[in-house]
Amino acid sequence: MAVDRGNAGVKRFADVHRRVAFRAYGAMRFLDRVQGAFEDVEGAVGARQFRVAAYQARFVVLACLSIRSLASEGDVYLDSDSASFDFFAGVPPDVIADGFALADAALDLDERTADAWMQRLRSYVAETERLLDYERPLPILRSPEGAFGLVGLTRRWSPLLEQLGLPPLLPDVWVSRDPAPR
Amino acid sequence: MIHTDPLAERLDAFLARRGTTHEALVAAIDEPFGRPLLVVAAGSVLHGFGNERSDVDVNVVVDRDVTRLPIGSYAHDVLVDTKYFSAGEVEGWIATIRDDPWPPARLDRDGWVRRQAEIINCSRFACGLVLSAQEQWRAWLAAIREPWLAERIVQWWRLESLRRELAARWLAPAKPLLAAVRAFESVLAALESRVAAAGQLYYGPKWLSEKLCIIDDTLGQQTLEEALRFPRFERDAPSYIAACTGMVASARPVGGEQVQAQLWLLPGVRIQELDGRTLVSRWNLRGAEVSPSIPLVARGGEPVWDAPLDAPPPPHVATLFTEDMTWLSIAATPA
Repeated sequence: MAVDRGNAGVKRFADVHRRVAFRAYGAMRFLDRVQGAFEDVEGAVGARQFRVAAYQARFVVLACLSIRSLASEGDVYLDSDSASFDFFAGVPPDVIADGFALADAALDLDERTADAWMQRLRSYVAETERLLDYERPLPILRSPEGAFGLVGLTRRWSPLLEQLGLPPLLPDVWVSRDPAPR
Repeated sequence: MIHTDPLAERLDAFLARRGTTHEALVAAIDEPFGRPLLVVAAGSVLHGFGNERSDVDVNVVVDRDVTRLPIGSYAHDVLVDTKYFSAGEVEGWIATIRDDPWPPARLDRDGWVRRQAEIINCSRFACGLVLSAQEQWRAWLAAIREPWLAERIVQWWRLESLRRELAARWLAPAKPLLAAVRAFESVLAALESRVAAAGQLYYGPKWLSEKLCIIDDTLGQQTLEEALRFPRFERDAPSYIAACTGMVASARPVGGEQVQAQLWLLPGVRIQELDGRTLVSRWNLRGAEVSPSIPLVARGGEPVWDAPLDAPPPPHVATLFTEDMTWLSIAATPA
């Protein structure tokens, strides 16, 4: 966990592996899972498909919690179809409860409340990205520039991940020649 | 253009609002892997439950090996998610999905991932709109549109519901909230199996509420509504999980397979004996020390443990599962 001692530009960490894991896999998880699901929620709210929005909001919150878990105990290998994958590892109970309160609120959306709730979810997602501590906003994967951003992120982190014995940043299904579940 | 095919009508209407056509969509397909043999449009828009932010999936079969990096392209403000498939891979689906028994007696994570991909991709081809096809591919399309695919999708979700229900039961003592997540997923999978049995084969749980509406499944909608009200605190998890178990019992179609639970070590897991204890770690980043040392022998290509569904795993195996060191499969019971 980062410790800001007030020295300009200096952050100290007890565990370098964890810090690297949090920032690198957290960013990839944000691109791969959070951005697209958040767009889905926006689209569903815009179309007044409130049940779809509620389902995807829950997915957004789970993905954001799993990013936060990377800072302490979470696994770097995002395997959400593994029946034991723990979205909450090391995340404080109040942070989990706040996330689910936000997701639950989507179940009671209507014309009157939808926009304000959407803004709350937007802030929640933005806060998750802020925690990752990048100098600039992360690239949007589903955008014309997304491919370049993905390549840049991978190039930046891959040598260090390899050096630390951590798995590749790109999900294995993306680069495999086997059929990939997307 | 006048269509009688509702898929084509929906796609054309979606594209027309962006000033383009599906002919332009086909013309814009890159050919990094050579000339397409078959092009099929898929996605929620075609099935009537997409919205203005939805993308359009285009599946392309080519005559060479491909990779699956998910890079979208943009034409007329439409995000087009193009996936390329090799002809050999696609042709093999009929033999593997239709003809091979499922589940197999040994099912590791890679086997599960491969099957899921085959089910997703095959159903996208089967339920999609053909934009262009060489003549010999029309026979293949006719074959995957036969009833066996629906049966396999119903089975896939039924077994997934079972797998996640079992995980919820095993996780509940140590990680109640995570167990609640798995219980929710079990309900979701049971409902997916139910809508597939009613003809809604499109693979995409986020559209479950819309699929239940289309088939006018009031009980299913109520079940989903109830399951979505997720517990925020550990103290509320047991009653939620019990409610989910009841929902699954009424929603999940009945199957006839003889199956068992099977656990395999996950990627990155290492097990070392140390000072009379066992250190189980993953990626050298997290781990658990078990004392006294555990009687675990997981040879290459062997499951860590398998047993009937109603047999609880012994404590050391349960620890490996709750610590997220093992992959849970539902495999066939050996004859």
